[in-house]
Amino acid sequence: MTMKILAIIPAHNEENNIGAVIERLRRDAGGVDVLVVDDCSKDRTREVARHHGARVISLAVNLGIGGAVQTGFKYAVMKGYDVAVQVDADGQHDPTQIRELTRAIEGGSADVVIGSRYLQDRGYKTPVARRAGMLVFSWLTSVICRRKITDTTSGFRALNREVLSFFAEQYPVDFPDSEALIILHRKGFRIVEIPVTMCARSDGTSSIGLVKSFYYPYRSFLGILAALLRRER
Amino acid sequence: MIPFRAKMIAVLVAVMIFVFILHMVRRKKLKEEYSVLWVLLSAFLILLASWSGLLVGLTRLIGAQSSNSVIFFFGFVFVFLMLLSFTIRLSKAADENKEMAQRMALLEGELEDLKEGVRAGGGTTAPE
Repeated sequence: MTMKILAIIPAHNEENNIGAVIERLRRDAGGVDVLVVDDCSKDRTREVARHHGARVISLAVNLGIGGAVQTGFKYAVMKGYDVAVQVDADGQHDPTQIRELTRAIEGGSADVVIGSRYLQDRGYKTPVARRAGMLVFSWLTSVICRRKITDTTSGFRALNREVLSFFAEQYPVDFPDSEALIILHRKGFRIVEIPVTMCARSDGTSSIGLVKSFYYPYRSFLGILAALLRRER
Repeated sequence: MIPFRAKMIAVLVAVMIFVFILHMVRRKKLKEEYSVLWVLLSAFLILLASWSGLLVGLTRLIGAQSSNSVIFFFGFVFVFLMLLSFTIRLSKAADENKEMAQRMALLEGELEDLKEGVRAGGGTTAPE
């Protein structure tokens, strides 16, 4: 039995990237359905995505990447997909690796598969300060989850049906990084990492600015703390 | 003792605030749910203005030096509670807003599918 796989692309003002990303997914990902969640873009993201043959869901208000991705999870649950893979709209994720991500889920040995940039050194460059911060959080997450996690901020993740149903109901939409993984671990889901190679950004710059680089660590600590204090439901 | 005129003005203002809040609730400009703290506050203000023994007693009760600081203390506590309750309600509203936007987007997608199905097949069943 083949699995129904959905690629979820959260997109906010990505008209220059989205077309190529969709084309590559259709060509290289081996028959996955493509859903673009248009997060209230002001440009022609919606039209471009539709033109390239993707299913498009448009949000009336800007919810941010977490809220957009969660909309994709809800769609996947509604349409009965077995696996959903989150893919960035900027073209950094290599579609040929989607099958590698979903393999562990198809084999039944994992509920969540993270495409890690740091599990193997494959030449992905991160600014030193950001890398240091990431190391702190992956260490913290690894300790809490009692399992080595090298890339908590990776946006390249595959989730199975159970995780999708869970995240459709509750998802830490503001900063869905370490917090999401810890919540999953506490729910008893099995998290597996596999190494991935990143492509260069085709257009635009990273969404993380100066203010966010201070706010992010603070907010993440708070999120992890809240996740730990929350009682199992 | 507080001069009679000052006391009268204080009572008058307190009563005006009370009436104004009730008026807003009556005209549905302020939901009953949100008016609870405000009604309590204005009722307490009337009491405080008309009965000077209350403040003196309160000051003695918590052992404060001056009744001014007692007013400031309770004022701050009230403002703090009010702000906190706003933040809680705001969080709830933001969450509901998110759910609503997501559901609307999904329904819109479904609607487009249905329309296309009708246009393509002339039938009324959803394409699948």
